[in-house]
Amino acid sequence: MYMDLISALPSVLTFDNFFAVVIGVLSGIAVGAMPGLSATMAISVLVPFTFGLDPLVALGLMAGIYNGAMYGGAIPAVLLRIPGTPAAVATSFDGYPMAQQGRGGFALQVAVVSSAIGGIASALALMLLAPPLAKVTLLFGPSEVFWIAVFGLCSIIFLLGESPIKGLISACFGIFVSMVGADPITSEDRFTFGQLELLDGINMVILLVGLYAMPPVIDLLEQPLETKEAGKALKTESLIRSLPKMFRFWKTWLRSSFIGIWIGILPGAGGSMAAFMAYNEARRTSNNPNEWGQGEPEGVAAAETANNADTASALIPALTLGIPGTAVAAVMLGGLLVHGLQPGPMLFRDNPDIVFGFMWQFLFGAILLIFLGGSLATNSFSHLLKLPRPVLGSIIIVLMFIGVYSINERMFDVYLMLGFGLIGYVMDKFKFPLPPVVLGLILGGFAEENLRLTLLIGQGQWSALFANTTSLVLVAMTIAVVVGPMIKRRLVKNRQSKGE
Amino acid sequence: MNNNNTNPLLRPMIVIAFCILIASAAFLLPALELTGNASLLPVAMLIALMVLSVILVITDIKKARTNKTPNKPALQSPGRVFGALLSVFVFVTSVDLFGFYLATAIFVPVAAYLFGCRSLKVLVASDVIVVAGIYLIFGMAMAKDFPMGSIW
Repeated sequence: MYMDLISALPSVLTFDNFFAVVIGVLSGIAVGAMPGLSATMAISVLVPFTFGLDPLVALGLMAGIYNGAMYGGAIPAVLLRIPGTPAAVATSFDGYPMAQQGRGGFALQVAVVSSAIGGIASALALMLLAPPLAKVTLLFGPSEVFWIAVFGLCSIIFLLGESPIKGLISACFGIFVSMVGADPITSEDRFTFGQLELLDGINMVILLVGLYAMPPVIDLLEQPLETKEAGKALKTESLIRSLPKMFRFWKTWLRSSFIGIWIGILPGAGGSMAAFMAYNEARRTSNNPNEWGQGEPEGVAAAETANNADTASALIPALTLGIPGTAVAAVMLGGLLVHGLQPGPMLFRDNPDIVFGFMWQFLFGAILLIFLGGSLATNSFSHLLKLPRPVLGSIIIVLMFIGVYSINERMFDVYLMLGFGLIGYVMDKFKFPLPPVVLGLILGGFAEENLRLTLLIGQGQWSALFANTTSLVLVAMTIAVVVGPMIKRRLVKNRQSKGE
Repeated sequence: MNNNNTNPLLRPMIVIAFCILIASAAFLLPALELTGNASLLPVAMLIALMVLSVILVITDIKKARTNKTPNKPALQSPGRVFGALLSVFVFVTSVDLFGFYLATAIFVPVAAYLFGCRSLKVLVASDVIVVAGIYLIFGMAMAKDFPMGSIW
């Protein structure tokens, strides 16, 4: 499969693809720089606009946005102590004190170089680890595929959210939404209530835009945060002159990259956890831990390397098994589906150019960060913080409308998106996790088809689901994912009560 | 309606749980009419949702009894949230009635003004840039057709 990786390179090196990554990185930095907006939201809003594009161009945009947004979050974190994205919280610990000492420019240079290094390490991990994993999963039959879907859902439910009950409700809702439309085997209408628009099922994009774009838009209008300090010019020297001062961080870059990659692969963890872990580890091994939190650039390096190292690696389980490690990866799976690409091992067999091209785009996106996220761009993007939030909110509402309406050019989809938006807002406010809904929609139909196929092959016998060793291993892994956090929670509780 | 309400029926999580229970029960009726294995997963999911919503009610009541510290309200300014949701709905409906470009040209500055932007320069500039940008990018370059409005 590594030969496919090399042969995919020429297809990526076209002007269109390269331009898409550049635009993606720039848009990602802009989105990340604005508190309240996230890579997940940006990709959700973008997906409908990529319908008419070549799949690689569309995926290049997404890869660029993901990489760019992870760095962009550092801009307000350093300048205003307002993390642009949750993953940038740890960046503000030392970045903001540096800005107050007049070293904000250097802090952002450390952030951009570290983000690029983390992103490159992550893309290389994706390139090296995903192909062999996909090769193994190609041998799976319907019962194994069904259990993989169950394992993926359980991982997201029990490892991502604070409350398994809420996670389960989200997942059941997502699976139920995937059942709307004609039955895949008997073509019987399910929950269409005579609406012809629902016969083909509910389009993933409508759900994505509603769930992920509506809550931040309402938040933008609800809290008109003024950021008067933003937009001040940063005093920086050129990146080439600053680079030698950063070489002493090489151990931190290496360690944080490993932490970020590992956290990215684990389903349910995310960039913020990677950044916190890397920050703590770097501080623990530092010679001067007492200076951390008062403007130590190594702290910025640790956090930014780790939160970018989590990006491409989160796609290892997503692309090979269809199990996204993070919310952004879940939305990216939605983006793949929009272009008729079903995530999973078949993707590597049927569309090697696209899947391996996507990996190259992640690598290019990370490298481009150094060139596009330099002081000129950072200065420009820091001005974005001055944009009034109500204006931004109303523009995003118009973009949401255009994106959803453009899918089939019908108002029905827009009203459906409003409905999902309302549900998404309530879920978001009351802490029902959103990724299980998306994963339920992605894996629901997939799981149902393979479950029914297994039952057909097994002549209606449920024991067919446990007929081989791989299935049993997957069942055991699922049980471990469900029971593990419960045991951990109980142990923590016992320890706390003993402490009291 | 806030998280500190002593009346269980007014606690938001319980209201949500009841909404889930009622919606699941309503969808369960058509799900039971499906033939063969077509009903397998939908029925399983709906029953699971009903059971989970009951568990949600029980855990929330337990939490309310044991938790003495006051919780932060879920919505900081309910009026603004309601206004924001209403503005999105009004925008979509007005697109349906008056057409996309007219509705957008009115919606962007009015919504921004109502939600706190008072700079006339910013309002006019953003309106012109958004409408012209959409027309050039989506209308001209991508040849997208938007609703013309049913009222005309």
